[in-house]
Amino acid sequence: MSSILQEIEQQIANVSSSVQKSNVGTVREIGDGVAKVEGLSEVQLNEMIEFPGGLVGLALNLEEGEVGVVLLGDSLHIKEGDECKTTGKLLSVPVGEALLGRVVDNLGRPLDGKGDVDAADQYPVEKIAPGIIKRKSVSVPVQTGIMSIDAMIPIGRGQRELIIGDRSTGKTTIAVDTIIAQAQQNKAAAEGRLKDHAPLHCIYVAIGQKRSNIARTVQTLEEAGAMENTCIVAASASDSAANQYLAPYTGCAIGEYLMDQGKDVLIVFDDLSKHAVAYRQVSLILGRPSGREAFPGDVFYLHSRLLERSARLSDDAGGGSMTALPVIETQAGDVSAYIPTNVISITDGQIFLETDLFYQGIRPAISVGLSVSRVGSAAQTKAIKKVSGTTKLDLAQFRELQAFAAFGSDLDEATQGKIDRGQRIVELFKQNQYNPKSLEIEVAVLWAMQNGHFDDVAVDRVKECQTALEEYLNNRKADLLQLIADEKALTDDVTEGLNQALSDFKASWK
Amino acid sequence: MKVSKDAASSARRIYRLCAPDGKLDEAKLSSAVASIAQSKPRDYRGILHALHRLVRIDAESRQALVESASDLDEASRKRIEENLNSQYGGGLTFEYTSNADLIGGVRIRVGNDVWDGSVQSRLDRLANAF
Repeated sequence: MSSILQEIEQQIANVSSSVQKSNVGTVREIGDGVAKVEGLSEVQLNEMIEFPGGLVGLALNLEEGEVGVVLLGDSLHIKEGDECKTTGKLLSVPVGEALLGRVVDNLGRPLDGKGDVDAADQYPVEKIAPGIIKRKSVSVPVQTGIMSIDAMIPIGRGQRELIIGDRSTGKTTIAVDTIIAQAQQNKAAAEGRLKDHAPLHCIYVAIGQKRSNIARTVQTLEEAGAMENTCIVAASASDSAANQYLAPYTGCAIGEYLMDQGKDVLIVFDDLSKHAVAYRQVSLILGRPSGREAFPGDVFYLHSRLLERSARLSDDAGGGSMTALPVIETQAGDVSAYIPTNVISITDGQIFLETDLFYQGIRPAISVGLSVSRVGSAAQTKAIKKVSGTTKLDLAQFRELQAFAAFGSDLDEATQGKIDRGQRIVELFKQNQYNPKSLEIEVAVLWAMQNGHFDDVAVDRVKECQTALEEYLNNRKADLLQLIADEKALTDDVTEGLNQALSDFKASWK
Repeated sequence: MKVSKDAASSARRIYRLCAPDGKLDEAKLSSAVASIAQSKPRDYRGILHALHRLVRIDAESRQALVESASDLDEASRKRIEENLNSQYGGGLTFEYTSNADLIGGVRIRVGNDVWDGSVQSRLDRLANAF
C-alpha cells in the first residue's frame, strides 16, 4: 500500500503546477474530415492539434491565413468558433511486442476487444528512413513457402517486393501464405527443428478493405496459428480517408520498433492503390493542386518515404530488418498506369499476377516473364539455388515453344523435351492457398524435377505424384528432411539421401 | 465569401503599406478603405473582405482577454497589464470577464497565445497524467 501511495505522490509531484502557455486557433470551417483553423501561429507541420472532446487532428496544410487540419476521429461535435490548440507533439503510436496478436486501428487503439495494449514505447508515425551507412545488403532469405516464388523470384530480409495484379488474382493470398509460412518456421525454430533461424514477425496493414475481408483474414491467420506472431493494422473502407492515409505509416512505426530491437519484421501493405486514392481525397479537400489523374504532386513521395523505411540494418545498427510486401491492384493488367509504375520504380522487384493464368488454373497465377527480384539468388539458400538454377530459363523457353505444342508430331526431340519439362514445371508450381511448403520439401521436389523424376509421369498426374511424394517424405523420410533443413545445401549426404528416397518412392508409386 | 488570390495579395499589400512599422495606422487604413470603396477596382469586394480579415486578426492580436474565477482587484489588473505590455510591446487592449468554471486563478488569451494558470487546467493536467 505504501508503494502505491509513493507512486501517486510521485505522479502528483511530476505534474507541473506552473502557468501553462499554449498556442490556440479558432475553427473557421469544418467539413469532409478537414477543419480550416485560423490562428495556431506556432504550429509545425504534422503537429497534433487538440480539439474539444479529445478529438485529435493533424496539421497538414500551413497556409498564410489558416491551417488545414485533418481530423482523426468523429468530428460531428466540432463547430465553427470552437477553440483548438497545438500539442507540441508529432503524431505517434504505441509500439511494442504486445501488439503482436492484436488488431489495432491507425492510432494503435485496439479493435479486437481484447483489452488495452500494453505498449513498450511511442514511435512517431512519420520518421526519416535509415541512412546509407546504417544499412547492410540483403542476404538472408524470406521463405514464403510458395515454391514458384522461392525458386524463381526469391525475397530476402530487408527487401521490398511488390505484389501486383488485377482484382481477384491472389495477391492477398500470397501475402497471407507468406505470413503463415513465417509462423510455421518460427514454431519449428522454437521446437529446435530449424537451426539458425531468426524469427520473422509479421504486420498486415489493411487499407480501404471491406471489414468482412479483414475479419476473414484474421480468422485464416488464427486457424493457421499465425495470428500470435502477427499484428494487424486495420483502416477499412468505412474509415475516413485520413485514417486510411495514416495506416501504413502506423504499421511501419510498429515494425520499426521491432527492427530497432534487432528483430526481423515482415510488413504487408494491402493495398497501396487504395492508399493513394485516400491521399488524393485528403489532398483535394485540403485544396492542394492536383496533377496527373487528380493525384497530388507528391504521390510518389507518399510511397517512397514509406517503403524506404524497410531495410536491413547493419550489425552496428542492431542487425534488424523490415521486409515490405506492398500490394498494388491494376486495372485490366495495365502495369504502365501512374501509381503502379511509381511503386514498381521504388521496390526491389515485383511479383506480377495475371488473370489469364488464374483462370487457366495456374494458381498462384505468377507471370514468370514479368516478375523479377532484383536481389536474386543472394536471397536464396544454397540448396534452393542449386535445384532451381535453370527453372526460370526452362519456363521461359517453354512459353516460347508453347504455341508449337499443337504440332507435337513435327517437333524434334529436344524441343519436345523442353515442352514436356515446362508442362511439368507448371504443374509442380501450382499450390493450394494457405498451404505453404517448408524449405526441405521445396528442395526435394525441385531436385526431383531437375533430375527428371517427373519426366515419366503424365502431365495430368504430376500433382498427384507430387502430393504422394511429399506425404512419403514427411512420413517415411523425416530424417532426410531434417538433414536438408540443417544443411540448407546439397551436400553429398543430402544428394545420396534424395536419390535413395526417390528411387524407393518411384518403385512404389503407380 | 471566397476571396481570389489576386484580391488576397492586394489586400496584403495595402495592409503592409498601412502598417509600416508593424503597427497599424488607422487613419491611413480608413483612407485606403474609402478610396477602394469609391474607385471600386476589380474584385474590390474580395479586397475589402480580405483586408477586413487582416485587420480583425491584428485587432485580436492586440486584445488581451483576461478570465478569472472572481473579479480582480485594481492591483492585480495593473500587474497583469504591465507584464503583458512588456511582453507584447505595448498597445494592448484589455477585457476582463469572470468565469466560475476556472475555480481559481486566471486564464489570459492574447491573440493566439493562451496563458492558463487556472485551477481547472491544473486539475485537468493532473487527471491526464494519471
